[in-house]
Amino acid sequence: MSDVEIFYAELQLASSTVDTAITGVLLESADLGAEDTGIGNPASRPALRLALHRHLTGLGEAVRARVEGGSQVSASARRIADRYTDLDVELTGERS
Amino acid sequence: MTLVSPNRGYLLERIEGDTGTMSWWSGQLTRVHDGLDDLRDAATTATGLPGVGKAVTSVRADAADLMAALAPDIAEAEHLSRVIATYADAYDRYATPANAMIEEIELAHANWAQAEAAADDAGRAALAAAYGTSALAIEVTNALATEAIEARDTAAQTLDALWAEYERHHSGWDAAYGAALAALAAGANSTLTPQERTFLESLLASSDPAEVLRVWRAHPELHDELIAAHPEVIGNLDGIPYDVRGDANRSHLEALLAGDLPADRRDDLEAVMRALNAEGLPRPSLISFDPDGSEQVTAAIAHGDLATASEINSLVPGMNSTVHDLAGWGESARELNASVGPGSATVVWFGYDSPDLLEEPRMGRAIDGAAAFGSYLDGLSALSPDAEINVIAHSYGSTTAAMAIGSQPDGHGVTAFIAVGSAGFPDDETVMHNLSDSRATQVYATISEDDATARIGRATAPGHPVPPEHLPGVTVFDSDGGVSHTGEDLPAATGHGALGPGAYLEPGSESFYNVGEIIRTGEPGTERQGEGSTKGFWDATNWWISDEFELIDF
Repeated sequence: MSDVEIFYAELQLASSTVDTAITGVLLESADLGAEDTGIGNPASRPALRLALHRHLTGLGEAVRARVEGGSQVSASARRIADRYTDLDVELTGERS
Repeated sequence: MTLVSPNRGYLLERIEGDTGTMSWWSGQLTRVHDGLDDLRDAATTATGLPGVGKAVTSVRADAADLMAALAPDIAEAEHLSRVIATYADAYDRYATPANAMIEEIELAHANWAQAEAAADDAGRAALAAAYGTSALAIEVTNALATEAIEARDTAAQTLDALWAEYERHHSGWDAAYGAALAALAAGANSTLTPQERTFLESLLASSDPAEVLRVWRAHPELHDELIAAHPEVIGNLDGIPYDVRGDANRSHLEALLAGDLPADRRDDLEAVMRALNAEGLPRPSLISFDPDGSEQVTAAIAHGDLATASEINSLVPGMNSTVHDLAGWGESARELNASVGPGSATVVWFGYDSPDLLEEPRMGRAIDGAAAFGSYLDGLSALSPDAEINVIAHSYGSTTAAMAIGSQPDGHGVTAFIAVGSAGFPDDETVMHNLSDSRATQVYATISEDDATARIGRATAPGHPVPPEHLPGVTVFDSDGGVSHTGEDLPAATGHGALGPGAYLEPGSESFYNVGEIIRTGEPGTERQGEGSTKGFWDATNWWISDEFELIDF
């Protein structure tokens, strides 16, 4: 297998690994916007419920941003791999 | 009547919580943590890509940035999971046994009350016999009194032991609640010094706003650091002085607006800023601001000086209200201050998730809102103990306010509770007991004869069907048109709206005039069915469905 073929495989692997991880994160974080955390208003105190909602909202926003960041990494790696004829330039900096 | 523990003053009521749901969340956050960790591992693969070209170099850099950004998120997910799990454990250890004791304590209290009454009766009988001449009667009544006193003392000991155990459980839960709050506030990525962290923990572990104020005043040297690190906590913590909260929240709002925001979020925050930049001296103050604590952005804006006011009024909106209505309600707040006179300050309180049409028949939004509103009212009492506190609530806002004010025998310190176009008070025994013929809070209510919406709201809501106009001791006032003391015409409320022409809180309307007079004098300013009254849809020609006759009560 040539260096370019190995490079191609590594790009494909990096892209698919990130995509798989993103799918997992999206699946697990889908409920972060839900309201009922089981805390309620014990002894008429809302503070913990509100604070937890704040943190879960913040984490949800962060997850969305990371998913977007990961998608960009994956797409960029795939774009390089898709330009197969340019791979040797990308790998070595020289055109064969 | 809700019992109160003798030493710590805890209400004997179920400590709310669902450990099953908490545990699910803890597990779910662990899975989010693991998912983010997997993403970080995947990004590591990309950082290891070979090559020297521009595109692959950029991929490696982006992947490295992603890894760096993921680190605090992974820590946060793990932290949240741990905080919830720890609190759930503490809830099981303390709150669950406390809740299990409620019936036992109520029974023991009833036994003790019965035994005490019996001992009193027996004592009086023995005393009466002592004035007689029958030695046998004296001996028998003395024996019975001794027996009754022993029974009473035994009942008291049993009750005391139960209360002691209940207070032990309750204080254990109380400490866990404060610890969870402090752990959340400090966060997984805290930059606080140990001293600042201890101060924050003390504030959050305080049992009520009065204690928050005492703790806050004890450490002025730490204020600036804590405000800068946690404006979202200090700006919303009841008991913190309002000038501090106003400054912290304004800075927080300005900082958010200076950053990148989704369009709808920016619209919401700009609406808050517009309301805050309204005219008035002192300038309106953002005394609470929580963009992420609820489903909608919540906020409260004070018009007038809360620190010196002798009358503090709070306006509470109803269904579908959002921060986009803050500016309009602010105009009514300033008009109300002008109407009441010097010493009046009015807060527009949008501190809860108001319901939409589908949520309105249910009590969920009112229950959550009442907890926040009750805490806010306690904060007012702590910071302005000499001021009279008045609440003016519209539609579902009155349901929420009734739930809060009626939950406590002292009405959270509220002097006057004025319901306009109420969507109905909660069908809750304690709330109704506390609001009926209340010595703490005088309740006032009006419903326009042209307000179909409020009537439909009451008729279709199993959780809040109670017409406040029919509660014992409630002062009902008119909103169907009248004439002021100075001879000015006062238009009727011609529908259900809070603001705008024909609305309850429109300055110049009979309803608004009466609200001002109630705050000023304790009495409505116009007579019922007096000069200027008009007939509405639900008036005389439709008497059979009128509120006045209660034959069909919407």
